Amino acid sequence: MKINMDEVNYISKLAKLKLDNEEAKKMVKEFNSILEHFENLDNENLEDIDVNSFEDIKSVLRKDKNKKFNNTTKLFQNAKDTKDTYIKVPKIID
Amino acid sequence: MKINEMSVIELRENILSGKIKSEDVVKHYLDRIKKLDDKIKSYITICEEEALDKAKKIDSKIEQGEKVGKLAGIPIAIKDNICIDGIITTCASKILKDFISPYDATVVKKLKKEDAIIIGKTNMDEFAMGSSTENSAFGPTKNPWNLEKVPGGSSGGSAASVASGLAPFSLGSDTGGSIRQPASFCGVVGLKPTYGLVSRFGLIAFASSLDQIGPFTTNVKDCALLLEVIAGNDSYDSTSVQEDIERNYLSELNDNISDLKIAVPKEFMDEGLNDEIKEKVIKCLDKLEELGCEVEEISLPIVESGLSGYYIISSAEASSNLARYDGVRYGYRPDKFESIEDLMVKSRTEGFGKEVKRRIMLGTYVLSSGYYDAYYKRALKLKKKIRDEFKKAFEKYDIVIGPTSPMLPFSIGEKTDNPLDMYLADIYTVTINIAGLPALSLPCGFSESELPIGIQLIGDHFAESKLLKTAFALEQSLDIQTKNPNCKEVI
Repeated sequence: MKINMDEVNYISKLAKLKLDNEEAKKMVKEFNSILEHFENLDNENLEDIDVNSFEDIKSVLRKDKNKKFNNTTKLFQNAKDTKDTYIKVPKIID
Repeated sequence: MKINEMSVIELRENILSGKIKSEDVVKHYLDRIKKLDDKIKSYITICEEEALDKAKKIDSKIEQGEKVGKLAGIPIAIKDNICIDGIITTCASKILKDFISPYDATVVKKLKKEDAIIIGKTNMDEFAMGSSTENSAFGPTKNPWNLEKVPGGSSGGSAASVASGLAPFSLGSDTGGSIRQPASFCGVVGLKPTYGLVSRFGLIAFASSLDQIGPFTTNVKDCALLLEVIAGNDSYDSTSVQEDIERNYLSELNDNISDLKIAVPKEFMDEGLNDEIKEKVIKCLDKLEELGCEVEEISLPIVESGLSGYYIISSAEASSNLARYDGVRYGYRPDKFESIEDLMVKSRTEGFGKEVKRRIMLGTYVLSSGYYDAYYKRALKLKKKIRDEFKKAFEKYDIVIGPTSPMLPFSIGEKTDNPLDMYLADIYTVTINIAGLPALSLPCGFSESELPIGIQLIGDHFAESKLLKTAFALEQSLDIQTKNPNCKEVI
């Protein structure tokens, strides 16, 4: 067993997902078979590989430019609850 | 010849010369969709009014002799994770079921500039996570060759719409095989371009370091044409290609391929590969030898571990990308909630489907403290190794060839209870995304059960031209276009 109920419940908390008991149990089972498959990484020799070298990658930057954005209606068209130019959510700080 | 049997290039000639009106082409496709898509379910949204409006405008432009774009008046279907201004973009998820995109993706802008007509948005696995299009919140798409079978995924709707003559061509996205595998299952051409060749701006992110948009067409020529239109640098996507890339894909299609060296990784032809698929791939290799190519077997021992690496990296990136869906600014929000935490948890729990939750959980797990080094960091190292292995192969060879999928299209429901089994469907395609290479799935025949089989051609970074001309030569010699049983008559 690579993963148990407690761990699945802990991960679901981190991911902001609520799993009921049945779902969590099923996920433990599925995860164990997936993680078992991941063991084939053990067969790879990855010793000398440096993940922090980026010799063939260039960073791409551009200058910030001011642009006036007028279409606020469009910006808020997908918000569920608004007041003026604010999006309404429940109280965040008590 | 019926309109839906014409290639994009033929449609283009007929529309430009005034022989056929764009309005008639659009109407023809809309009629077919109305008549047939109840069975296939390849579309989520149909853009009827907008499409007819645009068609009329283009017809009058052509009548008056005005200059029109490369794809003038030709309808195209777009996967529902690519944003179109003013149109609902759902990602086949309940969480985005009423999300109206406020802008165009760069590929859509480019299509509009060339006067293509967007006819609808196609079905997919939710957030592009899946290999069968069964994970859609709007129900599964069916394989046009056999309605009991899956069309592959995640771009199953885009593949099925083209295969069944409900669109002359379409766009999909490919993170681990999501264009190539459905192309293979539906018997159409599907290309995943080099990472960075096509802008991802406006493509709703699944795994940003692997995602790439690409075309579905009935033939290689149309694929070359569509790629010419959508490729190129975009200042809105910093990972898009910075140099000016030559894009003469169409004019270079007929170039000679007799000096090409082709490699076949023995690991791609090993145990686990369906016999009929293997036989068809070998037949293609013989054809390429007849055409003068040199074909050699090589070893690329990264197939099994590549699949693990892929599911670790893609799930990790997905868990981070999908953290934005919290019910605050847009997307699904429950009617009742008690606190901000409750709002977020309920929005996500009620809005996401099973597979998406599984990937978010898996991604959160491999990134969490104590497991990061064991899984995520090792997967990143493997990514470098896979890239190097392919680079080494491309020092000696021009094209790497193997099957697209280890299995024939499977039955609807067959693999939904076993996620690992479903993941294994991607075993030959995921390593290509990890290496950022271009790859094309070409129809190469049929099984005894009359299901399509695809062969996968893999090229070096930005070697799309070589890839397309090889695929074109093979397509011509296989004569698959004329020998296909006409699936449009099956339905």
